[in-house]
Amino acid sequence: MTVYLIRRFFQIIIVLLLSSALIYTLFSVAPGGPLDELLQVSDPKTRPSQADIDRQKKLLGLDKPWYLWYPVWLTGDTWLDKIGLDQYVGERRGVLRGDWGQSWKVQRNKPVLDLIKDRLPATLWLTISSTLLSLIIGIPLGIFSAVRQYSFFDYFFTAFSFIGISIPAFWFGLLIISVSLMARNRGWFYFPPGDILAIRDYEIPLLGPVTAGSLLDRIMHLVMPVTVLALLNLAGWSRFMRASMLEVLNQDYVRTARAKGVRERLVVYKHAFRNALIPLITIVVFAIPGVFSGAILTETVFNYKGLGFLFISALGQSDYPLAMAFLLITSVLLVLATLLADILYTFVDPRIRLT
Amino acid sequence: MAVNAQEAEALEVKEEQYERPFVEIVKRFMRHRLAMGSFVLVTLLILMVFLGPFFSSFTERAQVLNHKNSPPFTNYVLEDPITEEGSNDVRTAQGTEVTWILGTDELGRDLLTRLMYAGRVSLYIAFAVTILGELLGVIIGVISGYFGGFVDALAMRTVDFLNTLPLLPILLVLTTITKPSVNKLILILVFFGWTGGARLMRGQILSLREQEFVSASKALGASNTRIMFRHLVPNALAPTIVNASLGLSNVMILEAALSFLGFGVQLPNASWGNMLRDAGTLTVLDKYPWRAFFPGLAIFICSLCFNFIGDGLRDALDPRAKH
Repeated sequence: MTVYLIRRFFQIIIVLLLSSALIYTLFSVAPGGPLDELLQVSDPKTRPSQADIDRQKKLLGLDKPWYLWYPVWLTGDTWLDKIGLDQYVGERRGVLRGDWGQSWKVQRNKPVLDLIKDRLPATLWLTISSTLLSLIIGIPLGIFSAVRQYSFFDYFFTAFSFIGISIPAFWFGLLIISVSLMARNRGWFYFPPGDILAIRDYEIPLLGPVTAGSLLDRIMHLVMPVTVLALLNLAGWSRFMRASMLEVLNQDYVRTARAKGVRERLVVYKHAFRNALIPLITIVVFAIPGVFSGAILTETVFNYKGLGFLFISALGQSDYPLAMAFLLITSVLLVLATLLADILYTFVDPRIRLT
Repeated sequence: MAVNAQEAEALEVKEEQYERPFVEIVKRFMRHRLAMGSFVLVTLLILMVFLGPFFSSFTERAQVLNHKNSPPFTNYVLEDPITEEGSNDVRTAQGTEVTWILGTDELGRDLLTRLMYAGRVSLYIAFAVTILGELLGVIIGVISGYFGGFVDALAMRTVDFLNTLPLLPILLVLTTITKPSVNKLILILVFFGWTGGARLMRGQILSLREQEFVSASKALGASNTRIMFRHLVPNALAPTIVNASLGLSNVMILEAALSFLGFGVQLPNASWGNMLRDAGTLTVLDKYPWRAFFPGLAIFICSLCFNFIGDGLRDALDPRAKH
């Protein structure tokens, strides 16, 4: 296990280096950005001088030869004098030391990491509650339809999960917004569409007044996006739970337990359920980065200003340092989740040995 | 030799029992009612999308500006004739009473006609990406499974690496940078879409290549290419077909998501995804909800059908498979 972990650790470092290099290359060949804008100014009064352009270039690190771009971006340029490149020494500290650059457009000159830190809580609210919701609903659904295989409920559930897999989540989001708006127009109970918190106090029929910025306000705004995001995983996870439960229920030890006269409830919940949960754990861990991708769509649909929304606006305005930071974070998360899933396999199922 | 009646009967029964595998598969598929229904529905949809515009009174971009955002089933007597795009030939004469069956959009264009044109693009992308992706996956998978060693390691590490990239964000970035046309978009999607197929194929080949018929063809002097593509691939194709049919639905939703976010198919080309983008604002959802309803419904129906067909194909091709 220790050997395996050490080997995986080195593998992960290589993978992360490769993918960050790929992401860096992608963004450095991308057209647009502050330098292009400066060069395009045609008005003689505001046209930047050669000195201005050189200064900008130095700021962007473009004065260095190409083979130094990626290392400098990664580790900064404060140490370059130690290897004899005195002329390129600068102030940058590099991604590894927490210098992720500054935003170009979305909030000019604000450090990218600060921007992300500001938006993170909103996205965490969304992703964590939707993951919990899909687990809380998905697991019992899967168990129930496995225990009553071929019953009416099972067929109903199968149909439901096919619909859940096939429905485009963003369209489902648009639909429930539309329904909620219809309810609002008729003076029925509704959920406010869009935004994280309301600006002014508002009143909802049956519920009464809601103070802007309160917990209730936040929850009211969360309900619809969370439903949509939860639906993304709900169908898949409950289907998986059903298959895993069916497999466990056919095992010998379940038959033994039944033969000993253990009550059916106990067989299902104590003997079968615990073992059926094992494969699900890894699936769930593996899906966590996917929730962030899903958040991009959901946040756009609901105008919910979290990380995904930030990413889309950064891309739309060619704010590359910001977009790059989001991409890096999601890819690191994905790599780590893969590792975590692999390690969890050994913990929950001792028969699997990683070498 | 005289054959008595009993023997003749037995022979006949035997003849009935024996069927070509293909016929048997089709029969098994047809027994899966949902899959069969889906197959019929998808066929009808494809026919409608590709032939429908020829019978429509409207063209893709014909606008009736005083009837923007009309609800479904609005009747209207044309004040101006509708002409063919790019010429002055009259398609629908002045004074004809027309019906907007699904209503109109923000420029007064017929939603149904536009939906059909958009469907061509969406379905074309879905099929092209899936077919090309599976083809590439099969070729890489069979080569890496058959030869093993360095080729295999290289291919599988590439697959692993591609799988560690977050798909949707990286597609968004790529499409921002390249601003792709429809065909380039297909290539980008294929580039990330072949890995599953390759893995599946490789797994099949690894077990198949140890079997006797491979040694037999080797002994007979068959070339590697012949063994791979005449003997191994046809035997390992069943899971790939199922995978492809489920993949269709994923590609369709992925393309719709990209276009919905404004990064996939670019205007003036319509696709179901970017029709939804136009309809995604609160005003439209509040006042003209049908504009958001129908394009999404089309995506939903197609992807549901592809999933059912995949399920049916799995039952038909591999009756023992548990799922």
